[in-house]
Amino acid sequence: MYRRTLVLMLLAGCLGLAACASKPPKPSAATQQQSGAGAGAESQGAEGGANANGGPFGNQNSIPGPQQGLLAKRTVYFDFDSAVIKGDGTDIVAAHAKYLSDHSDARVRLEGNTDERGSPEYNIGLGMRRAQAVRQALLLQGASATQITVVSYGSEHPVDPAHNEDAWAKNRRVDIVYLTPGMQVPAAPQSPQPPQ
Amino acid sequence: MSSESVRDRWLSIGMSVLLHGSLVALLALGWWHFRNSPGPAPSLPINATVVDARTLKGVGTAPTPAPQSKPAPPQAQPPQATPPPPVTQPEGPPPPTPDELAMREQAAKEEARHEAEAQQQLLARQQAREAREEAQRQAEAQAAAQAAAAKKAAQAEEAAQARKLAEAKKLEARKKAAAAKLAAEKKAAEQRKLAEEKKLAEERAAAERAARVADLQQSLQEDERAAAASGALASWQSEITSRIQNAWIKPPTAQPGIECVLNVSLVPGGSVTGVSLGRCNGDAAVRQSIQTAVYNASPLPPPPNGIPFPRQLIIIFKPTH
Amino acid sequence: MKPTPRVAPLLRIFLVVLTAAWLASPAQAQLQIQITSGVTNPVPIAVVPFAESPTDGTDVADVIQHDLAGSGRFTALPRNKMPATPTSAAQVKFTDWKAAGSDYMVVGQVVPLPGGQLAVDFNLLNTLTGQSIARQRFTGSAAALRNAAHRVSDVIYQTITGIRGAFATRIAYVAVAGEGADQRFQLVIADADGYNQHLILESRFPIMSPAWSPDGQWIAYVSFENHLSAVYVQRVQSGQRTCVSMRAGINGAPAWSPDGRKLAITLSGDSGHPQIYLLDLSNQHLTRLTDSPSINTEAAWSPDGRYIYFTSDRAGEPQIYRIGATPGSPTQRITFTDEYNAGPHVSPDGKLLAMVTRDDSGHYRIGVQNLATGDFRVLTNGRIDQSPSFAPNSATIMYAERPGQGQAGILATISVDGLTGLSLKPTKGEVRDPAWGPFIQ
Repeated sequence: MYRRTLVLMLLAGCLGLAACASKPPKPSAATQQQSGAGAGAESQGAEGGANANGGPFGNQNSIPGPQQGLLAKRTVYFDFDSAVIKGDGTDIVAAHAKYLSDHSDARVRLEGNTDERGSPEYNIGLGMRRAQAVRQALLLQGASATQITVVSYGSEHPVDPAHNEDAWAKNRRVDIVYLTPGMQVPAAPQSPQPPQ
Repeated sequence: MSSESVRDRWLSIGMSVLLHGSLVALLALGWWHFRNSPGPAPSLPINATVVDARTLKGVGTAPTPAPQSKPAPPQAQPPQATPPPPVTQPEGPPPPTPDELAMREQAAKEEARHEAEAQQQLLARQQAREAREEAQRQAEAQAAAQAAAAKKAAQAEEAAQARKLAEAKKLEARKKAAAAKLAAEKKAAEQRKLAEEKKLAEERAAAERAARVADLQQSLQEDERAAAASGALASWQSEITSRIQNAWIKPPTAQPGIECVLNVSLVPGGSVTGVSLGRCNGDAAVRQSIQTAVYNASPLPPPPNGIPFPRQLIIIFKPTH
Repeated sequence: MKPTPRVAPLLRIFLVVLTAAWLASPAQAQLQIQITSGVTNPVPIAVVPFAESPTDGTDVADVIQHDLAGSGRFTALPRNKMPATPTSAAQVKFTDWKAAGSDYMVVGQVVPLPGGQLAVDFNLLNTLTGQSIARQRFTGSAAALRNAAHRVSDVIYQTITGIRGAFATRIAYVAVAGEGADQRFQLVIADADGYNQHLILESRFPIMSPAWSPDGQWIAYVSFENHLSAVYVQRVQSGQRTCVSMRAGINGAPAWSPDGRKLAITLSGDSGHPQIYLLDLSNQHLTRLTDSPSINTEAAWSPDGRYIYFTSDRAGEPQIYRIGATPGSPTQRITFTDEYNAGPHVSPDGKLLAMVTRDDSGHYRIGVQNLATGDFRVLTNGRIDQSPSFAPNSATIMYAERPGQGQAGILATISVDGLTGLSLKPTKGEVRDPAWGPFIQ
């Protein structure tokens, strides 16, 4: 039974590559040792974890992006359990929407986040709700869908790891990350099937 | 109220409805029948009075009137027509010849005959009409009589039915009374029997009790001799029970439905020297735990004063929760 | 009046006869006691140090003792209270051990075999009856000595409690090390007690939701390499990995069907709501299960494969629902206690549902609901407890605990009766997202 499953898995592996748009960078798949070299992904222009570059991942395809006025602000915040853009977030979004609409070349990735409390995968959903709220606002104000990718990190990518209200408020956010202009939005070609 | 009398009641109601309904139906039927009746047959005798035809002269030849519902009142006497004066010899003209006289006589006779015929016809017609009218009157009277008779008959029938109903009811009532009486008698008989049996049972019980009392008294006397020991026996038993219960670390598989028997061997002093497993439907963990429990409870507390330890104990493990 | 000399002996005879009659009477010859209840105290046991050949320093008896005591069902005699250190049954003076309070004791030795292998011999004894109730030998390499010790614990546990032991099982979890640009996310496999860690994936991007296949050969997980989420399936032995879903939007919460053929996953697309899908691993065929304009995620299969429990906030706050594993099945709400219930995991015996529950004071704790009766109990008392995962014997739950200020997240276990809690051996950095693997055949 296990052998059959194994063969099926292998077959699935070949087929499954079709469901993945790009080859993942090589994280050390079988390393027993813990070495920094096993990190794999190179980071170009990986300045310190400044929010302007979308956090401490050292995004290899992020660029500084526009810096004039409101456009320098890349983070939009939310209240607990809410996906409503709060405070001056709406103005920030409006500014970026105008920029995107004026520069059809520009590409952004919206990264939704939550604070650390609650169940992790449910938080992925909450983060996505926030990112989609910002996406919707951008689309309504002139951006086009091909310019935007959304991802949710849930509670996996906090900017402040402390366990208090201050940190939690800072973590409930959507980051707007500018990508290399004209870059193909690296989303998979397949969307989930519509309901049966 | 018993189901039987309810049933009787409904039966009575039903029968009454049925009877009255049929009465009403009959009435309606007779009424309709009477309305549509075609008239009586003409063979019935006619009760008529002779009328002088001459008196009928001059009455117009009115058409025969249709039969009326009411008998027509007798016609008023028609105006009497004076008979034609006899032919007398006039003073002037020449006396008629005998041929002329004969002719005149003949003519007169013919005329008279014709008149008589006519009169007769008229009379006949009148008679016929009267007869018809009479007949009609008779028929109507007959019908009326019939109707009256029918009504009377119907009434009589109704009365008869009512009587019958009343009789039936009376019968029912009598039957019911009889049945009730029977039931009452039966019940009384049953009760008497029950009472007798009860009395018998009581007597027996009393006898048994008396016997038991005698027994008890006897054993009480025996027990009194070992009074201290028997009273403490029960509490000794419960002491052992709680000791073992507190020592039994119940594994999770010791669920209600599990029952295991241990035969425990003791020595004086209460120490457990051996256990042997009797019937048991528990798993290895249960079996292990009950043996451990018994050993942990050992030595068992001593029994009441002066009585030695029993050599065997049967311990049944039967968790209830 | 003083009894005449002839009466006194008569009186004595009478008394003797009476006593004999009393003894002979039926009530006494078969004295019956009925025991209808017991106690649920931990069983006192002594795990005597094993006679060992020099090894890598693994103290087999210590591993066994830690396993048994950590389960909450045993209490172990401290070494300094042991009257002696026998290594075989013949050397045991049972009355001494009974006097020390132990109902059971374990003696044994580690014996080197030709070829470099080691044999672990143990003997489980009942100190009250003096009998051996379990005796076995486990053979393995020196590196697998801890595993042999865990297998001994499994046998002892099952012999005395009737429940199969889960000490010789493995867990997977995510570790986060470093900060800032040096931060690394790791997927780690270890023994159930946290020892013997093996790194099977390292990334600069988050990893989450590891899930063991029913045969223990594969692990599915979510990885954010390339900045976007994707579900991977990786062979534990070889490290060979396959991406099974990298669609736009969310790819998350993988859960293996009990027959190992399917993965339940959460997908959302760019603009849609997260829904639960079933992915057939043999043909990549995707079937949609939920269809609600809300967040639907965290699928957990029932052990018979008929139902999927999941988190949904269709009613406002997240609660746990259940849907049949075939499309078009009805959905039923399961949790009604408290305002927030998420992250379901069904016990392997199908009786309990573990979850993250938030109480009125805002604490996130691990709760269990009896699926048959609906009874609900909160087991832990932390502030931010997450990710419950049942042991394969359904007796213990492992979860992640985020303690207070300045402390990193750790893994902990709690017995399903809520009485015994343990923290796992702390590791560097933060650990989270534990997944308890299946019994190892």
